[in-house]
Amino acid sequence: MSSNPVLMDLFKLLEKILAGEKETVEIEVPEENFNLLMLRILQAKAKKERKRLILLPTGARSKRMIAALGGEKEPKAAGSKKSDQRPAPKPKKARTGIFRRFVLIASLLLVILLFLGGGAYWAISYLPRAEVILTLNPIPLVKELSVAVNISAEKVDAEKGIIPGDLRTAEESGEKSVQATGTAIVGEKAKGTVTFVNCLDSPKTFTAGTVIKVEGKDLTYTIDADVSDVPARPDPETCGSEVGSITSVKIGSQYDQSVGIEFDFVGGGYANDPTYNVYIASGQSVAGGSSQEVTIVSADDQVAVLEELKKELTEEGKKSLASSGGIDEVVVEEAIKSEVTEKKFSHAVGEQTDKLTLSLTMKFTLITYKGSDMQELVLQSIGALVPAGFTLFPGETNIDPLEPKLSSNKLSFQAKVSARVVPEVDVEKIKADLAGRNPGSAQEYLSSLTEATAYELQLWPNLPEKLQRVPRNTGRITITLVTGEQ
Amino acid sequence: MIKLKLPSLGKREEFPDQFFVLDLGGKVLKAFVLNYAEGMVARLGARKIPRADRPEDDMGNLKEAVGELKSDFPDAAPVSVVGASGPRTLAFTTVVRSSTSRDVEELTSHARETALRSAQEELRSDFGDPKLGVSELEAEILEVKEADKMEVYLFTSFADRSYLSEQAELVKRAGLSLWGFSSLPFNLVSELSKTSELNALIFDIGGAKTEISVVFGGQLMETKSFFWNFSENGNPTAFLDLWLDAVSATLLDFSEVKVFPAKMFLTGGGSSFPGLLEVVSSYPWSRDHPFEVAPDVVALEEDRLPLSLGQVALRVKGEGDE
Repeated sequence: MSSNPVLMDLFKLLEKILAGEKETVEIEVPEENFNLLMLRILQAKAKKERKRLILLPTGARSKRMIAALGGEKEPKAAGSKKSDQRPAPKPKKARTGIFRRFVLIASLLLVILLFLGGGAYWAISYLPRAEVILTLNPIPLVKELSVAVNISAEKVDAEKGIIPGDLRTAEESGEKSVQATGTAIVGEKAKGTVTFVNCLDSPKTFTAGTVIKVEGKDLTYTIDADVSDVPARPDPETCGSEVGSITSVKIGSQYDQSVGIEFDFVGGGYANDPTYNVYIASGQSVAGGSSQEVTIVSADDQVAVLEELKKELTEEGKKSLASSGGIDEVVVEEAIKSEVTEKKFSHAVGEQTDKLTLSLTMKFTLITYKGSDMQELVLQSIGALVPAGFTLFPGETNIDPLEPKLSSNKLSFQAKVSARVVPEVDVEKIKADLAGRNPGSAQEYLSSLTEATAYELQLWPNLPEKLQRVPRNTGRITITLVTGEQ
Repeated sequence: MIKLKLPSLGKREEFPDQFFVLDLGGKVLKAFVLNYAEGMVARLGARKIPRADRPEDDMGNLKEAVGELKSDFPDAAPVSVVGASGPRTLAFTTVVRSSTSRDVEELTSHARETALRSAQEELRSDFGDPKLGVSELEAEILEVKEADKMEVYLFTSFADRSYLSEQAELVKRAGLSLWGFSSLPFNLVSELSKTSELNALIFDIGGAKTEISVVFGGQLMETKSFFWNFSENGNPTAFLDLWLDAVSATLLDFSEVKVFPAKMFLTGGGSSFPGLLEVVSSYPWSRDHPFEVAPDVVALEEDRLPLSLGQVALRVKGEGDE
C-alpha cells in the first residue's frame, strides 16, 4: 500500500501569493486534494494582494480545474471564471522632477513611520513579560514500599526495593555539668566518759558494744571498750565504780549529755538489773555530737546528666553524619545506632558536692541514602499507579521511613509514599498558545484549560488593556504550576 | 409532514440499540459507541486515533481501538454509521415547487435525480475529473408545504465513490459492518435545530479540511469545503489570517445567499486551534459579506459533531415506530 497522501497545503500557496515580491505569482495546481473552490480562494487572495496569478496545471485534472475556473485575462474575485496568464504590465514612470521629489519625500516619511510603527509593534509584542499561575487539583496517592538501603548495592533496583547506601560513622565528645540535688545529714557522734557502777559483791566487766541509753529517752550509746573489773561493793552502803567511755550510736548534738544524767542498759544481759548503773559523774561529760544537711550527688542526677548529654551529642552526631554526605544525603534519624565509648562522672552517687560533671564520648553509626535514588525508586514503583493523563506533581512526594531497622550492612524500612498526582499539563504548548494574545483572549484560553481549576495572569508592563499582549516570545512567558492546597 | 429515508448503504435490518459511529477524519480517526434508549442517544465509549503515515497502520490502529470498544461494551452491535463530510462530499437542500396536482413521491423522485446530476457535475468540475463516480448518501423530505402550490424541501447528500470505498474499507478492516454513511453537517443541524429554528453558518474545522454549511430555518441549504491542513505552525497569526482569507473567499462562493445568518458555530478538532475563536469572533465579517449584524460566534464541544451521528438512530428508530 502507498503512504497516506500528503495534504496539499493551501496555506503555503496563499503564503506564496502574500509573500511574493513580484506582481506576478505562479502557482502549480496539484492534482490531488485540491478542488475548484481552492482555486477561487487563491484567485481572491491574488486580487486582494493586487497580484497577477498564473495557475499552472500539473496534470489533466488540474488543467480541467483551471479551465473550469474560466478564461479571464485579469485576476478576478471569487467566482470569477479564469486566471490571468498575461505578463504583468510595466509600472508607469514619473515624468517630472517635482513629482519625483514628492514621491521621494513621501516614501521617506512612510519608511520613518513604518520604522517607528514597527519598533512600537516590536516593543509591544516582544518586551512584555507574562506570568501565569495555573492551579491544579491534586489527587492523593499513597503507597507503602519495602525498601532496603544496602551498602553493597550500586544502583536502584525497583523490583527488589533496593537502593544504594553509604555507611556513615561519627564520634562526638562532650562535657556537661549539673547541680547536684541529693541531700544527706552529716556530723559527729557524741563521745565522753561515764561512770560504771557495780553494786555486786564481786567485780564486774561491761563489754564493749553494750548499748546503753539515756534514762527515759531514746538516745542510745555503745560502750567503746571493755570496762573491766569494776570493783565489787566494799560495803553494803557503797557500790564499786569505774570510768569508761561511750559513743552515741547516731550523730547529733542531742546526744551531748551533762553531769547527773543516768543511763539504762539496753542489752548485754544487764537490762533492768538495778545492781548496775551508769551515770555522768562530776567532771565527766558526753559531748562533741553534731549534725548538718549537705548536698550530695544522687543517682537521679547522674541519670539526668547522662541523658541530657547523650541527647546533645546525638544531635551533634546527626549533624556530623548528615554533613559527611552530599546535600542530597538522607539521614533516617530513628535508625541511628549510638553507643557510649567513654563515660566519666566527677562524683559518685552520695558524694557531697554542689556540681556534678559528666564527660562523655559517643559513637554513631548509620546507613544513609541519596534522596534522588529514593525518588527514582518511588517513580519506578508507583509510576504504574498514576492514572492516564495524570502525572506525579514534582515536590509534593513525601516519603516517611516507617520502622527503620539498621543492621551491619543495610537499613530496612517501610517507605510510606504520599504523592499527589495532577493532570498532565503541556506547559510549552500553553505558552505557544498564549503567545500574542490580548488579555481577554488569554484569559478565555486559560479558563478553557480543563487541567487547571484556576489561573492567574499577570502581564508586564501594565499598559492599558488594549495595548497589552502576551509576549510572542514564549521565553518571556513563565508558567508556574501550583496545587489548590498551596 | 416529514418522511424519513434510511442512509443509502444501510441494511434494512432492525437498527441496534447500541452501535458504533465513526468519524474518519484526515488527521484523527474517531470511534464512538452510542446507546439508544427511550428516544435519547447517549455516548458510552470512545477512542481517538491519530492518523498514521501509512493507510495499513490506520487500519490496524482502528481495528485495535474498535476491538477495545467491543470488549468494553459487549452489548454493542458491530454495526457502524459513518460520517461523511468534506470536499469530496456535497450536501444541500432543494426546494421543488409545482402545482398541487403533482404526486409528492413522483416530484421527489424527479428532484433526487436532478440533485444527483447536479452533484455529479459539481464534484466532477470541482476535481477536474469527468469520470468521477458520485453516489447518493441520503435523501430526505424535510417538509412539504401545500397551499396554492406545492413546495417540497428535499435534503440530499452525495459523495465521491472512491472516497466512500476508502472509508468502507477502513470500516470493514476494523471488524464492523457498515450500516450506512450520513452527512455530518446534516446530523449536527438536526441536533441543533431541536430546540429552536436554526439559522447559522457552521464551520466544521477538521484537521485536514474546512467545511462551511449554511443553515436557514433549521435546514442545511448548502455546504462548501476546501482542504486545509490544520497543524501547529511557526506563525499562528499569519496562519489564521490566511485561513480567514480562505473562509472569506468561500463565503463569497455562496453567491445565492443574500444575507448570511448572524450566528456562527465552530466545530471540529481544528476549532480549538490557538487563537482561532478569537480571530473568527473579531473578523469584520460584514465588511466583505452580507451580514446585517456582526455574527455571534459559538464554539461547540469537541465531539459534538461526530456524536450528532446518533441522530441517525433517532430517525431510523422513529421511522420504525411510525
